[in-house]
Amino acid sequence: MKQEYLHDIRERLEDRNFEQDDIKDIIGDYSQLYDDMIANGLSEEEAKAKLGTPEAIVAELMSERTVSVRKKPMKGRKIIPIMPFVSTIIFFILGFVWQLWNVAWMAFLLIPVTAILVEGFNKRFRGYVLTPLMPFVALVVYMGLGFGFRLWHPGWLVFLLIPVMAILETRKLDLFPRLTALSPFVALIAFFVLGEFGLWHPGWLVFLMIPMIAILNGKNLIKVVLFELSFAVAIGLYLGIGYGLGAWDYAALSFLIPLIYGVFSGEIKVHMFFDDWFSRITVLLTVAVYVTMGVLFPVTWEWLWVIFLVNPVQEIVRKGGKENMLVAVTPFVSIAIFYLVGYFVPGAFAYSWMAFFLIPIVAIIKGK
Amino acid sequence: MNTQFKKGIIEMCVIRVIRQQDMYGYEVIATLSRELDVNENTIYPILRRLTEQGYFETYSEPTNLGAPRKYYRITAAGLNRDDETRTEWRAFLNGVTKLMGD
Repeated sequence: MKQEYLHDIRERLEDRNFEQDDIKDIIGDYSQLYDDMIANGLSEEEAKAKLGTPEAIVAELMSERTVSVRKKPMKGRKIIPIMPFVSTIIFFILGFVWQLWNVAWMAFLLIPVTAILVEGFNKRFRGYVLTPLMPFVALVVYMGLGFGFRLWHPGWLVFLLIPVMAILETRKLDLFPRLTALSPFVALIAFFVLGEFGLWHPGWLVFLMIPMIAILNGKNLIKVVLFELSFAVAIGLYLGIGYGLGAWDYAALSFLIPLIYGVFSGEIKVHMFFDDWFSRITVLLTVAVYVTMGVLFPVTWEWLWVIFLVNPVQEIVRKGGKENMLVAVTPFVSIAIFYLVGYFVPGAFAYSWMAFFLIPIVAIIKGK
Repeated sequence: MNTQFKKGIIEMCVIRVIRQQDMYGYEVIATLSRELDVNENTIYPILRRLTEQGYFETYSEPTNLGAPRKYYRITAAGLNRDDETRTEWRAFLNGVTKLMGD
């Protein structure tokens, strides 16, 4: 609680362009004040109330500030206006000298990249330096893989580096929440890399890292261990029955172990999401449909997992605010479109990833 | 009471209590809030500003709480400032007392 409080103060000070030395000093002082208040018998809530909200603290510090609040001139800022000329020169050299007109246009990316680098190193992005660069890096790598090696797919996976870098650079997340946030992207990348080697099955098991890492956020150690064990047993049984007896369909039933345990244990944080009977019944129904269809028509194992997206979507539709419902649902719709189009239309994974553009498009349309 | 006016009084009191003895941040806040109806979160920024203006210097003392504690000690500039504000404050109070008729 204290660290979170001090972190909020720090962020607000950075927003107001306080010097790093001053920020360090102020945070040290507030840390001491906080400890002294606790040592004098105040609760953490009382200590925070007495010290003030981070907004109020920074507002007071601003009003008492003795030095000018003008932004310090950025180091290296002079290079920014020069870059358009440098880019143009590089563009023409690449084009006229080496006939590389098809890639020469990328020289113009140096303009925003330079500006971002200068601003980033001058701490203008609240501690983010590489994240704002990632869209450009990803675009260049994607183009390189596409034009150079015809690897449009799975080259598009480099765009996942944008959220991955943001998660790595943020200071807001502790270790396990950070790993949890990273896990879907790591799983997706691992899945496609394994797929390229023909290991779609049992490569899809990497998606289990998402719940398995999320479980580590639980506070009850015994429940965490039991839940992890249920996954380990399920994976072991699945692979054992699958490879040993060749009965992959029945092997899949082993995943009912962690699922049933997870749905009904209720105490682990990750499962608080499904906190009413309607949600639990929906979970069981989707599992029943998936397993039944899988056993009856084995080909559905590969694509019918999309039905599980019904669970978060129904939660959002029933409990989320109407205003942001569409924005919240879009990522799940995008995943469904991406996978189903990619799966059913030969070669479509090369472009079905564009379904993910729906997410920012809907957010922009619905944004105020 | 007007916020700026109140801040001026807090500033005067902060200099005064630290003149009487070296204090750490929480001690200053606790001492002032015991006697005055002040918002505790306004005291530290004033303390910090007065330190930046050279009225206090700081030093660290080890504690059994963990990190060493920062103490504030008045400087020669702080002593002058205290003398000035004390004179001004007395003259001001005299004037107010006359006007109020008490």
